[in-house]
Amino acid sequence: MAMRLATAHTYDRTVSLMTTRQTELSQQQEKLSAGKKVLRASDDPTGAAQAERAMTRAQRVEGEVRALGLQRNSVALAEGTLGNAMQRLQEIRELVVNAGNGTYSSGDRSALALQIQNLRDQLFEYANKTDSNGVPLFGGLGSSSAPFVDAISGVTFEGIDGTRSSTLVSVPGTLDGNAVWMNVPTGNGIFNAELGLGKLAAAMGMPTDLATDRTTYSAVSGAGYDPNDHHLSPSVSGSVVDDPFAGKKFNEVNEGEMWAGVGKVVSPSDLTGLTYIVAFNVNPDPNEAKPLDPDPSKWRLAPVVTYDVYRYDPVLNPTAALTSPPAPAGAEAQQVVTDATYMDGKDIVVDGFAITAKGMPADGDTISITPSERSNVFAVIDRIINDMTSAGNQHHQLAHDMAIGLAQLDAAMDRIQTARSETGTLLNRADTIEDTQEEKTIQLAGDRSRAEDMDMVKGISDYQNMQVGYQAALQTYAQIQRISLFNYIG
Amino acid sequence: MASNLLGITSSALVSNQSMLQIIGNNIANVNTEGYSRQQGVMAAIPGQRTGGGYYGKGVEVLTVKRMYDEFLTRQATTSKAVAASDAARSSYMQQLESLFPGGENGLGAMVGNLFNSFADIANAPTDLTARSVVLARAEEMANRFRSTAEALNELRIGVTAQLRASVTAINTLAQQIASVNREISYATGTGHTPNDLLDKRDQLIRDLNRYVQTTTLPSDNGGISVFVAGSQPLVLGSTVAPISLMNDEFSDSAQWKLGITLSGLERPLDLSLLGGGEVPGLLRFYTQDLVHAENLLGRMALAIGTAMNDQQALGLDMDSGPGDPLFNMATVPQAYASKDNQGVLAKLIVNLDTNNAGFHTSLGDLQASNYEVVFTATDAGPPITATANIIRLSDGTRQTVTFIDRDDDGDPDTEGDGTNDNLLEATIDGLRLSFDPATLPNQGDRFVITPFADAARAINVAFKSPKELAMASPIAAEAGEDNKGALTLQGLFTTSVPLPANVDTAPAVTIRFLAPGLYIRSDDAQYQYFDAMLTAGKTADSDADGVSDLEEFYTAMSALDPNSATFAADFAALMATPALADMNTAAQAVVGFSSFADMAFEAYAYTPASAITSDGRNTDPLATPPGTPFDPDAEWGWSLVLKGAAAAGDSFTVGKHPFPLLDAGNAQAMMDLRDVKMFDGGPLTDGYASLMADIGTKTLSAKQAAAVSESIAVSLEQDRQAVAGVNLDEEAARLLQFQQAYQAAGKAMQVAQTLFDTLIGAIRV
Repeated sequence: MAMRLATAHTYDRTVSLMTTRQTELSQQQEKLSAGKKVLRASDDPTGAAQAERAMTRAQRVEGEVRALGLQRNSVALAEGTLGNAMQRLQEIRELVVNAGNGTYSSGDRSALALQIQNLRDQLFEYANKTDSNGVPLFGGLGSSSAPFVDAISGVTFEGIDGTRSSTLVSVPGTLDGNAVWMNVPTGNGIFNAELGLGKLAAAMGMPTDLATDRTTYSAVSGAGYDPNDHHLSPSVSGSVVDDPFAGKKFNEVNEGEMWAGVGKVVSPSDLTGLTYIVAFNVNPDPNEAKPLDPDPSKWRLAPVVTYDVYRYDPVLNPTAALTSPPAPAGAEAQQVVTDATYMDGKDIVVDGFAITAKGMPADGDTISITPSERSNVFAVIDRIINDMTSAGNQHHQLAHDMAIGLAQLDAAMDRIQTARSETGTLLNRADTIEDTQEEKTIQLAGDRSRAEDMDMVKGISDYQNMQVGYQAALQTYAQIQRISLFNYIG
Repeated sequence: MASNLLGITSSALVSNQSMLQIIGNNIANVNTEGYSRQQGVMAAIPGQRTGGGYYGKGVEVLTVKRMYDEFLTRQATTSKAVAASDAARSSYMQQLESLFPGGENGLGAMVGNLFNSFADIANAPTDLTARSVVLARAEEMANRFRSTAEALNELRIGVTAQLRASVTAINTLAQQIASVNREISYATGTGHTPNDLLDKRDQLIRDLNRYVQTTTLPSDNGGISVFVAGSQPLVLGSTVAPISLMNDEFSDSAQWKLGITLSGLERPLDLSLLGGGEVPGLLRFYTQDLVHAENLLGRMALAIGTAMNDQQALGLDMDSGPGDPLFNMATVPQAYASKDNQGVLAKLIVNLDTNNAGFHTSLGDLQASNYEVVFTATDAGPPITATANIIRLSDGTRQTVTFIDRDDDGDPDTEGDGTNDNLLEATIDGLRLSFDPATLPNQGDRFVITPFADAARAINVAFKSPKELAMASPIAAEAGEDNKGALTLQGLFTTSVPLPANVDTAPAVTIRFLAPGLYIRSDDAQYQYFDAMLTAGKTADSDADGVSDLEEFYTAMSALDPNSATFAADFAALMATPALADMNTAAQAVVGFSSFADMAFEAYAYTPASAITSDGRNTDPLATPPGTPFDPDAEWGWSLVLKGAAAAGDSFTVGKHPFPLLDAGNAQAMMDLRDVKMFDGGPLTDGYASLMADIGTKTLSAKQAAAVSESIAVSLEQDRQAVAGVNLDEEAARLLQFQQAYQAAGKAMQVAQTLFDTLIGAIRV
């Protein structure tokens, strides 16, 4: 039996169905006008969460890109600053080359030194330069607003050493000032050749309180010392017969006109990293008439010049203290070259390195060769200024100092150039990050759109379908309501 | 005969007229709600026996039958109750959902904005504008938390009002049913069913079921008993037990229960037994969905606010002082005690769990739920202990915890009463429960914890001055000046700050590499031996091969595997080699030296980009000398992440920051909070997305349930109406049918008349 239909219920039902259709239509319209298929989380909880997460990420990327912009500005500023520093250093270099000109008077050199001083002050300002937010460009892992302090004893870096890592979304905005400005090797970067004993005087056991410039001393205490005679007396004690210094003279400050330059490495594998002393012996030709005037320039025959090289090895002298320069106790040197003939301009080659001595040494003149140490850009320039103004008319000393000064300036420029190329790398990296972030933004926008945006074509087509459905419902209802048996009862 | 014919036709006329009357009544009531179609029952009047057989005597209407199916009616009523329940919940869920919008104007975006804005401070630590922006964003976020919580509260007030109105409606309907019961019992005496009264009562029951689902049981006198929650008699004949809204046993204002008063005693009805109806639907929304939403929101506010306050305390503000809390937070409310509890424990304190340094390290464990605590055993000791079952109400997970005295943990004064704490404590899901052992609960005592009830409503920004944002890190890591490797600092995070008096004396800690994959730390007990050894090794050359002991040591160390089980023995063996004799001697010369194997336990394997922490040193009390545990009061707590390859001899030193003014390490740490695993294992900034999805899913399922139960209800109503409803076409047909019958009867009467006239005419003639 067919099911009965209650008239009132049919009516209610149809009305309620039409209301539902109408509601759907209006919801679809709401979604269409908002352009979103997910208006409420319950429309599609997963999609809503996806869209929300994509939005959060996109916001974050936006923030990161802005931060990256600031970091990039800082790095670019550092790059420019380092470029300027290179120019200043180049200018200094030209002035130093000029200063080596033998025809310049000490007054001329003072003028040059003044210019260099000026440039050096500019460099110092560069080192303390800050970005637009007042953060020092060369502050390392942290610093006060001026990480470099210009004290009487020299420039110091008061920041925290070290570099931050780049991350996937950022680059460090500050560079390690210590690495950029404070890490210049002395000498040629491997070793440092100095005329005279320099600070080795103390290391060799020569008391520093002897202010005389004609100091000679033995490494072994008790060896005879005669301030009027530069030669060490043969030992009176049996225990120092092996003393390699016996009978030798060491000038703490050179008396002859000899210079050496920075030297070079000839065989890296033979390098020891130890300390050497080259000592020159100036003796009369065996045929020279006697008695001799102590001044070789009064001799008739050209003097015979030889040199000895001593190697000073703290490792082999375990009782020597570790302070730098090493304390004198028990210091001992090995003689590695004995009485080699000196020729002006010829390389002295020992243990893989060579120095080129030029000019005429006096008896006992020395060249001390120490492992390269770390200096800083400002100390290098300060030393050049000092050497220029204090050299007087000693051209051999000036030539040597300027040669070393130039080598160290080059090393400083090298450091700055390296730092500059690092900034270049950072800038490149910043570009790469920005590209990646841009792609990410697009991808996130896509994710979000896929998750919640309405496909307009589909949305409108759905809307039209719904509209047709609604119209059909209205029409059928009207039609059906017209059909009734009562219409046929006359 | 003729008179008989007249009698028959007249009975037919009357009966058909009655039938037409019934049809008319059906037509009249076609749109009357609750009206059941009626049908006249016609029967032939038994015939008279004659010699020629039985002669029929006409027709009569026996009674008026109510077309009605009890089973279908009950089903339709029940399904309507379920539909009403689902519709009520669905409608409120949609309102609730609208309080958690997504997109740029949502709470999630505000949380993200706040954290992202720290990036500007990180790049410009002294920029007050960037700081003001952060404060403004914090304010915005707190406002949104509060306004959302307020809206939830308004929803709660609205639901309560509707519940009260519905309860009144239930009581009124119950009264009406009772009085109709009475009327029906009077009317049943007549022998005919009082159709309209029955319709009325059915309609009342249908109306009642809109509010609460009932079961009915007919009684002998035609009355009907109405039960709610399975077996609680709402209407018994003509008596009514009134329904009311009552607090649960814990007097938690966020929980209502439906109560019924029987013999003057109000007792609660179990929500799970209530079944369908608008009231149970509302109660479900009120006690479960709304509470869940509030817990989700509260947990988010509490976790974000607390995490940021903790981070703020780890930084230095622009006056170089330690950071004050950024947000004022509500204290976690104490537990509600059941009024049936027998023990003396009234104050079960709830806090967020902290580590020894007072930082909330378990925020990620928080679950958006209330808890019920049931004490299963207590022991007056000593030691005093108590065991409890804790039920997480959101998912029913049950855990057993033991309350113990953790007084050695240097508790803060939890109660704020200034006395020395000696509380019994237990932790669960990032919460710490505690109580005074002097007030022991009894076995079976119950408590309810609502940790997040007030959190979102109370959060607000604590200060107005941007200078108070503690964006500087109080500590810094410095690379060794002579580092040769490619070590860079990936991150340094402060995890705790020593007491103010110890800030300046807290030692710096140096991490020193013995090999690219191995480091030692200066805060270890054995470091002094390493130090003596390494110092001596620089100049010593035990085997006089021109390579210092230190270099030889470093080379040999690179070959050892710190993760190997034999590392200690290998290390001791290495130190015993003649080539390192001088280093060996130097280490042994230090007072307290025990063995190189002991030292080996304080050499750690280095993995790039993994954290080295302040409390990660060897604290073995059995070592010689014993390790000292990390003391958060006297030492800096930190976590150091280095990246890149180390070279032997490289070092990094962590200590007090010499230049905090230009530092923004803490701003970076604030940003890093974005990725902290916070809400059910997801990162902090995804918390809102899952909250939205959670509520969205519940709303969706409520909507779907409502749609399904609605369609079931409609279909069952259609079935009921198929029996009970009036169909006009049918009535029209029947109208014609009985009209014709009536006309035919009239015609028959006319024939009788003619017969009579014929007879009279014949006699006259």
